[in-house]
Amino acid sequence: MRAFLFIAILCISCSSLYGQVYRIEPDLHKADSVAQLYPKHPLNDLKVLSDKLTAPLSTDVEKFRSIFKWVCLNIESDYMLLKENKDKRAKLNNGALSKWEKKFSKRVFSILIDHHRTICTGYAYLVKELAFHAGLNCTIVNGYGRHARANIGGRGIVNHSWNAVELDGKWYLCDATWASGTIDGERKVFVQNFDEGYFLSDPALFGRSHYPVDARWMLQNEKRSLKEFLNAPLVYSGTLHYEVKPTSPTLFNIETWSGDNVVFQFTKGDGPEFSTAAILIDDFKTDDMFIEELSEGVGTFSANHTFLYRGRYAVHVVLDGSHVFSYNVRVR
Amino acid sequence: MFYGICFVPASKEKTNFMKHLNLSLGVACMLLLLITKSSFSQTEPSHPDNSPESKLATYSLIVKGIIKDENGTGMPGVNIYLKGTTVGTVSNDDGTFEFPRKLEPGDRLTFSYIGYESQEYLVQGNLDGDLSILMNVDVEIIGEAGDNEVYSKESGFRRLWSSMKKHF
Repeated sequence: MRAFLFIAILCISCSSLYGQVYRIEPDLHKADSVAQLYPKHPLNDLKVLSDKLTAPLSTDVEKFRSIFKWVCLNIESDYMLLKENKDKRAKLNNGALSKWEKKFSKRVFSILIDHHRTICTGYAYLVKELAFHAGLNCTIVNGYGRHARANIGGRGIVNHSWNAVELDGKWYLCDATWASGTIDGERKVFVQNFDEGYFLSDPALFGRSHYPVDARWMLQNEKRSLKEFLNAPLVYSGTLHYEVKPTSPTLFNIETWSGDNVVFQFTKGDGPEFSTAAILIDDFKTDDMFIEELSEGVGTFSANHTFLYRGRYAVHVVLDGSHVFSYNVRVR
Repeated sequence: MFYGICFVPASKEKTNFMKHLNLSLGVACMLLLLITKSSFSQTEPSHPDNSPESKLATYSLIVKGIIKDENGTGMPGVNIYLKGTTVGTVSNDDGTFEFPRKLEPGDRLTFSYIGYESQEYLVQGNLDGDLSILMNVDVEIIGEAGDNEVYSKESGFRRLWSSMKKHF
């Protein structure tokens, strides 16, 4: 174990200037404890808050964790603002949009101060400013956020903001909005639920649901195109948790013939182990079994499904009850 | 005290190098002594006010000015801090401010107000008149909350239907 850790440290320090996942698990318990000391702390003076969150901590990663965790625990997503922003951006053209945006921006920050509620740019702004006061280099990244209702196919829409941060000389990605919780099925209520996967995420996994306008913030040597991003299999936060990547099929939309066999394949990195892997067709669990093949330390899991009947199906790969990928299959 | 360190203990076989080293060290120590001696007995600048503050007057600056928003209007409530400290102030209703502590060249001030990009200002020796700080709104508001909802055929159809509706 120690040897592995040492080699891991060596590999990471020899790698490019792009930071990866913070694999050498730093102890973040103290940072998390500090973050919990200041529930709903006022936001009118961010330096005061930043100092309180970071003064007791000595490393960059701990300071940033304290800031990030505080934001996720104390700021809620405002569904009404979100909806209004989306509607206006769809309806208004350049001149009118620009005018409306200025007023909206003021309202967003006013609501943030008064109610600790905001939409994603507000989250990203807070993280950036708190980091600034702590002496950390942090930037807001705008781009395409992808989930079941957004940026599947089409030409894509810039609809999300997240952060890139420099810690100990390396850059990392994080998403405070998505880490803080989700809007529930009714699309009206925000449920606070911290998701570890969006803190200092693996850029390759993060990049499957976050595509930056400025390609530099992919933090990867191999850059995918926007078209690839919009048409790839749909991924959920479970992929970040288990560190799994869909390798086959390569597209979200699959066309096949009745009676044909489709192979679903994914690879697994170093994340936690799972005990069950299943294919669901719409809501029904199939009997298809995943078989693992190990090659050079990487596990590849494969399962087949034969589609008997014509129609359209939503196909999901589920690990221990948690959805990780989805495809849209059309059977002729 | 200084003399003690300067002189290397004599040894029976002194090399040329050692002799040169001794000489260099000796010269360095003398110079050091002269400098330190001179600083301790520095004569006070001739100043009508001989209070302790006046000795530092040449090096310290009173920094004041006005902070404006993107419309050129004075911004109240802007937080101003000396970077790395908790010493700070807040701008007045008309956007003006005066930093409560005298500053040295090289000090950095931060200006922050929620919704605006925080700025840093480097205090320089040749401060001429009041500062004018312009705060930027460089934040484009975009919004997409976390959504871990599972893709379903229905949502796809609904999307298609709403995109078709736009054409009618």
